[in-house]
Amino acid sequence: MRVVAVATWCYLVWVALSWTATVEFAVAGLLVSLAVGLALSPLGHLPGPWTLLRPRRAAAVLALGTWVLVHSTASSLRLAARIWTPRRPLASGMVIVPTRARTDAELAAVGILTSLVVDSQLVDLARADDELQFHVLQAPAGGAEDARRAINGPVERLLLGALGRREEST
Amino acid sequence: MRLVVVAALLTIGVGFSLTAGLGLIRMPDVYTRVHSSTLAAVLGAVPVFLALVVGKGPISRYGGESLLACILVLVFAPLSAHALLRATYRGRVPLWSGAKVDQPRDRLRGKDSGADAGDEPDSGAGPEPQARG
Repeated sequence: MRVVAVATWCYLVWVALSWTATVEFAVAGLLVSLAVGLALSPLGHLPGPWTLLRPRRAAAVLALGTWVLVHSTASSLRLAARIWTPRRPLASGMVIVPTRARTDAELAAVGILTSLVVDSQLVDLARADDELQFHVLQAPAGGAEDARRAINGPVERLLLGALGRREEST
Repeated sequence: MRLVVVAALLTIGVGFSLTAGLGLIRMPDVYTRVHSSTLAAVLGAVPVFLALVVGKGPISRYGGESLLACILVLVFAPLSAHALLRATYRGRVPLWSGAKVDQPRDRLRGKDSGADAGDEPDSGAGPEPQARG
């Protein structure tokens, strides 16, 4: 099943890249995708694109995408305003926040999605302590849990929901 | 109408790319400048790709390739920012003087002073880029 999932994603990329409706391209894409699927499937589990057809997962992915789009745009506009008016105060800093992401894929997704919101950029992580280190343009007030709620908490909640994993209470 | 939308998207993309370039000059340290580089990817490049999709049509070769390029930019911009920031911080490049907080450094200093006083070492150590290598 892993091979089929990887090969299906690969074939979708092939179609988007080649965009040529001929038998030769279709067969070549199928062979290349199967080879890629066989080569990459030992790396781990990958949900196939058909899982997005489940209404609950589709809604969760849509909610996550919408949140990232809205907050990424808003933070980009804030940063642009800050660049054009340098007199605005800048309270940047390096902060450590706890994370509820556990697997490699969850950590990578949280890092990328939180960094797309340009107010916060992932710097480092400590897996043993389940902590992430961010550079932020506006250092949040309060403790580590307040910082988590301000920086990575919403993304983690939506992401873990999309992956079908409930957040552990800490 | 389509031409107007394309022109608007291109203007937005170019405008934010210009803003991000200005940010590289105006921001006070390398850490804050990296935020500007991500801005160039998010609101600088994506509208230009969208302009291509609108101009050539979403169900076209340009539409598919723009979508892929868009995804690649949105994935690799944060990744490159992360690699740059991590290397910079581990290289002990200091934050600017107006930075409000540097928790990894504060934590490391707390551990050092605790060890000097003969206290138990802090068991909750987090990321300590300066101490790793």
